[in-house]
Amino acid sequence: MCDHTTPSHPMQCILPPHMIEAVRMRGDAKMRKMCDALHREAHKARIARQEASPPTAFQAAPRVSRGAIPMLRREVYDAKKRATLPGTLVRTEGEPSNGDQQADEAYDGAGDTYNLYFEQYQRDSLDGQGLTMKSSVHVRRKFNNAFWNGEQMAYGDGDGRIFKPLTGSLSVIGHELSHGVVQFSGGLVYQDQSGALNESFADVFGVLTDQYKKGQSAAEADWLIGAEILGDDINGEALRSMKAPGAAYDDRLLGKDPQPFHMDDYLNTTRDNGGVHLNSGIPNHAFYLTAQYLGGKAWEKAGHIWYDTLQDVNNPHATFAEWADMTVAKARKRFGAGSREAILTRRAWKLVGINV
Amino acid sequence: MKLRLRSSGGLGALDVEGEIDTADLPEELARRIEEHLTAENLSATSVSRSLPMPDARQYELHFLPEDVDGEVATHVVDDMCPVGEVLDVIDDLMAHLIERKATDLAQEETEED
Repeated sequence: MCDHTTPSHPMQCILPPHMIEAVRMRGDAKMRKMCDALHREAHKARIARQEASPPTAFQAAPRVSRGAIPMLRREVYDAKKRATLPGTLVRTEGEPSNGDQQADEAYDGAGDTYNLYFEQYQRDSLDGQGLTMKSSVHVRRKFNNAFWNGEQMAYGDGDGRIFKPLTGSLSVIGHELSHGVVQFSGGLVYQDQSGALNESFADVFGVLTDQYKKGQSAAEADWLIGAEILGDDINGEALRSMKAPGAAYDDRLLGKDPQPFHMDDYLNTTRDNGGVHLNSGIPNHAFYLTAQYLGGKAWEKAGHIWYDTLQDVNNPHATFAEWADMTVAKARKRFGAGSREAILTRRAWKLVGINV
Repeated sequence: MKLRLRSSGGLGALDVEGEIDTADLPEELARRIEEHLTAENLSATSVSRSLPMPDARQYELHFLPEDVDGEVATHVVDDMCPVGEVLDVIDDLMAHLIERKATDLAQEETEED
């Protein structure tokens, strides 16, 4: 809704926020500058706090050469149960632990995520250019969430009943940092299907971070997101299951996991930005099936297909069908037109109700 | 004051919803609601004027009218809200709703037994 009580640019009133975002991400430097101005105007209050910056470029991240030396840079802050970010700096790259478990988990998890992207996809940090990975822990009181704010990670400690401290799960850390990768790869608008793809990419590379750290094959992995953070009395095994979307939990307090795994059950809703955490079950399951079909370590083949797709998707409003098309195209490009990889990727999408 | 809080989204996409009468809350929390959940604070930070960020939870606050002819005032903020005091109060209200639901469920279980 347009706020007519303060001066505003006409475009701000005409274009909904996601369209401004799209123009900014796709446009040239002049367009980006104009959209940034709109963004600043509409977000005065927010910017006063943290100067949330937009994606800086719509292009694939540069790849580092094989054998390059990683230049990992991490900073961990203690928000001291307040909402103001980032808080007090408690650990920088190479410094010893200060004894805070959540700070250590955020620090180590950022390193594990960096390693996956650097070693397997030749990506130097979230932006491909060595961005410092900032994390704040102990954010707010009894805060049952973790999020990426455009610049950094924020982790709550949970309320102890629903969630434990959210840094306790490497798949959650990998998930949140992967939102940064999506942003700096051009972005997928966080609404409806493109938003669900954004969520799904974060889930995929969240579980891959965990599997890579453990050296697990696709067959050995549990394919769960956030298995370690559910409260002890919650009847469930994780926040989400890529193997069995909709079956991660069934609890009197939380309700039942609502994720679909097939387009027949796609949820049309206005909540959760159009069900971004719900319908992500569909592409999540397609990735799981692809990884199972291809066998071996999921980051080696399936992961590359999905990563290549993000780098070239070139449409911040991509639909599931468009994304699926591109994964098959990427599998063909990487492994050959009639390759087993391309055929099985296509089959995986078919099984979730998307014909490529 | 009576209000309805409805929260959705976030990493876990967990829905939390419930009605709250400030008369039933601890005095200190009721005071902070009056002080910080003001139309001015909430209007300035409404998510209707912003872009959603990944995994930010949304909080719908519906202030119920005192009399039958009054209108419900609704504001929506999310985890990116720049006013820390607003989020502090929301965190406490969320904790209150979760605890209340857990207590109700425990009581139901006791009665079923």
